[in-house]
Amino acid sequence: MKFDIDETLAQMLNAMKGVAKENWKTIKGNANGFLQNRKGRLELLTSLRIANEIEEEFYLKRLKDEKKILESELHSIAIVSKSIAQKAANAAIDVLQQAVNKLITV
Amino acid sequence: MPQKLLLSSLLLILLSSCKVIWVPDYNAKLEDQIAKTAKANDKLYIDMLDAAPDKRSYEVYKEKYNDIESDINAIQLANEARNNNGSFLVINKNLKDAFQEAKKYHKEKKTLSDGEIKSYQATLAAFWKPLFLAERGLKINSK
Repeated sequence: MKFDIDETLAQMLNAMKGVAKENWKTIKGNANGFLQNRKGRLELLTSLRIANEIEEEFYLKRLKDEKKILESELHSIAIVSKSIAQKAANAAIDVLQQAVNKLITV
Repeated sequence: MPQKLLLSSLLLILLSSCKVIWVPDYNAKLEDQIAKTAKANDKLYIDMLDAAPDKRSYEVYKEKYNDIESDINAIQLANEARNNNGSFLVINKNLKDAFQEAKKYHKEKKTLSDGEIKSYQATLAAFWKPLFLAERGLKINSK
């Protein structure tokens, strides 16, 4: 079975960018970490299969796991993005609150 | 003037209750629990790989498997008790399913080869990482 690791990684990177949107710059480190780990993992699994250290069925199941791992990674990135956005939104509300406070005390 | 003051006061009351909450609060204890259980899961496979193939029966590792599984369940329970927990529950479920599949495979096959151990070690570590990074990502709101 032929598997283009680089093509798969590029597609996954785009999927992560889509989830992170404007927070991409901040979560880029996490996303790149996920991708580098994936590359290492896919290379390991493929080398184990080529060396016949794992059976075809077992190998295909591990490749299937990658779909679920990607799902978890996208949710993880979504949590971090929302966390950043929440902090920014609350900081903006605080500024407005302080401005109103000043208005009252004047 | 009194009208302006009234309006400002109302705005202040409105703003003071107006905090956006899209993610759960950061939980340092949970982050620690995730890190410790992920380490125990990794160690399970390191120990297995270190053992001679005839010393890798499921029975030898059963207790370690059960300890890790109950810790995963405890992490899941903690996540279920939080607000805004949707994404955490998906990550948790994927991890739990993958761990249970690995445990069942070992139990049915009785033993594991080097290749199978290395594969499970790498795959399960990949299921743990998003959970750990997500919890750590919540820290930003606790500062």
